[in-house]
Amino acid sequence: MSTSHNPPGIPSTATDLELLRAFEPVVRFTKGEQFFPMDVERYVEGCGLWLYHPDDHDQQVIAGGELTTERLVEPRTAAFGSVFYLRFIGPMGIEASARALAGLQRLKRQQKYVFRAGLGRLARGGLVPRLLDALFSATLLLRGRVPKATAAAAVLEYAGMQERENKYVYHGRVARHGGWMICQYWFFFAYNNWRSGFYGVNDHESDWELASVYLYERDDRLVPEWVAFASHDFHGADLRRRWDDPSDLTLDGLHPVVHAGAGSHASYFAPGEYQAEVPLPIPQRVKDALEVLQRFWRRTLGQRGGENPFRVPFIDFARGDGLSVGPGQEREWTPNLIAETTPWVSEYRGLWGLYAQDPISGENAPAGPMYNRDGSPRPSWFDPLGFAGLDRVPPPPLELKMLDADRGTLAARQDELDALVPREAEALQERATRLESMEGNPHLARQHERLAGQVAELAEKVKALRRERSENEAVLESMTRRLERQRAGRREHPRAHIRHAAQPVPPAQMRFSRAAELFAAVSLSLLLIGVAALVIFAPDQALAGVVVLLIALVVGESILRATFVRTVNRVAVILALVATVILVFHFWKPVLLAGLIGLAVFLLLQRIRELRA
Amino acid sequence: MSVTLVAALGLAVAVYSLTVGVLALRSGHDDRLVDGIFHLAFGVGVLAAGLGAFRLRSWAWAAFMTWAVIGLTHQVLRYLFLGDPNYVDMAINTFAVLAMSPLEVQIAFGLRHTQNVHLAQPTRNPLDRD
Repeated sequence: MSTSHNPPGIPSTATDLELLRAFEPVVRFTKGEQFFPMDVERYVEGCGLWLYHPDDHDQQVIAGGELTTERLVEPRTAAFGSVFYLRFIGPMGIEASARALAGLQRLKRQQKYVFRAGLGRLARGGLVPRLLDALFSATLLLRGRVPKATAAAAVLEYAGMQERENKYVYHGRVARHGGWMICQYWFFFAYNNWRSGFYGVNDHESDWELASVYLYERDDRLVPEWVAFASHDFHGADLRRRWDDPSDLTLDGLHPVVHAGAGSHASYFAPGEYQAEVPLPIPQRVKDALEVLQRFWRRTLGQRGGENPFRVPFIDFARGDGLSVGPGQEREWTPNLIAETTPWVSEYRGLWGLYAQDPISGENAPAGPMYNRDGSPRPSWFDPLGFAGLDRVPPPPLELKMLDADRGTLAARQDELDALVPREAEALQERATRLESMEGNPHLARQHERLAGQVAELAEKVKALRRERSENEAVLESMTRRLERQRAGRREHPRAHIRHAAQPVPPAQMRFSRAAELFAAVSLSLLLIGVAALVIFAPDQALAGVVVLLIALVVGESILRATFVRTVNRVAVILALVATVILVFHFWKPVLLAGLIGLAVFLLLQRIRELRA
Repeated sequence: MSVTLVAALGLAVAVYSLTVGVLALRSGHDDRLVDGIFHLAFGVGVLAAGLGAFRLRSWAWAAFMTWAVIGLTHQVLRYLFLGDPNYVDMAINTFAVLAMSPLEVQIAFGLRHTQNVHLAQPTRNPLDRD
């Protein structure tokens, strides 16, 4: 618990722009980042508008270079299943692709591109996730995806735009809900190159990220209370940190510091490398079967683990060692105020980049700040409180009033119960006494039955009232304690609301020994070469050889990763299960007889012990 | 009980292996020299693992499991691809794995920690019931 102090803030008469500027975040990028927050106007002017028709063909609506934000929002109709989308990079032939890839290499040399990923991702996942990783990469050949040359062309295009006008922009919005004033900072990026640039999950044209500051009014001042970032894979209350939480939130004066993931642009509170796991899309039947196996593994066999193996580990690099944008940093912000009345915000419901027709949507561009990809309203826009799990949290000055009033209501009910419980308890005793007096009188059977029902009902009622009184007592006590704490200026722990916090993986845990990393890099190729060698030199024993090779690789790697005990146990249990099936299949009669005799002897010994006792 | 059985089984195998090794070396035949040395080394290893299992040493648990993995892989592959497994060996290894794997056994060997007790489990005591 922390003690309150004079909180920071600005006069409540500040305009929306002044408010946004007062708390605008500092965004620290990772070295090697190639896209930074920009204004949508320049982006749109570099795009063409396209329409995907449900019969699977694309039509150019407005050619690249002719589009403006005004033309973007002109009313248009289209059939159900159609998708309007922008194309930052138009269709590219082989020559243009080669030119873009070569241009990117030149640019990297000029910019002294210095991103180094390390091998941590592969070493961390083990052999099975690495096999799945290879499979995941292979699925990109079948799924719709953004071509690599498009990423290269986007880097060049954006670099050109910045060369013409070096500008870093956020789109700021001020919303008022439930006593809170919310400053939303929407960051627009021309491209998300997490996959092609940083070994991540996906690439897509355009990217939106959000940082929010939640303020309340006290003594004619607006005081910041919460900060929420759009950290990927988290939601609700886990997205926000309290202004006075020093463990996670970095503040530069009144400016919260965002650490942006390289290429993904996901926002994190602390700098570091974040482990992200992408579950593979597997059929529901396989998932159900897996669930049954996991239960058997954990509960019946008492083994640890049993987690979903169909997931691929990725790393989101949010090191914060690159360009820093914000007040007093290498680059300053240019704010761009937006609201529902901004036409491109509310009137364009299409995608802000290429519709790659990826069925799992990872490679499709996002829609605008106000809408989801399917055109439905985006909760972070229409419900900024619910987005950060603040819809149930009143601003501090209101909370005290609410708590006091609620405590008064509960105390009044308690007084009521204090009078009611003895009255009802007495009535119950009277009726029960009357009921007892009817015993032994067969002619009163009907009345006895009726009264017995009433007595049972009344007993339940009295029990419920007593329970309510007892529970209220405990609630009142906790409310009183909280009121006293609040009145004394003491607050709850700033992290009390967090269930799952995004934490960077410690480097020691992320990076295994050099030997483990080397093994991780070469093991898959070793396995495949081994299989090929077996097929060539010992075709008759190839299958058996593959099994031995796999077990040897898994156990060998576990030694390097210091997980030998766990791995050898897993392998042993799996082999023992297979052996059990074989033994039962061939010797079911002796197994059954041995089981029966064993059970009989056990029961006999138990009973004899009981008799002797 | 099951751990004691596995440890005793290990000691029995160790005694057998050591005996075979000594006999092979005493026979004086050169062609049995390698066989004798292998049995002696294996016997010493299993003897150490068996004694370690009696004293609930974690390395002994790991040694038994490794032994079982090698033995089971061998027998299962022989069953699947050659059709002539040693079912006794398979059964002994299976028993060793199933005896050494349960949570409480691993806790006893200091390999895992106790789990939290489920306090909300239903109870037959009326004092604890709603």
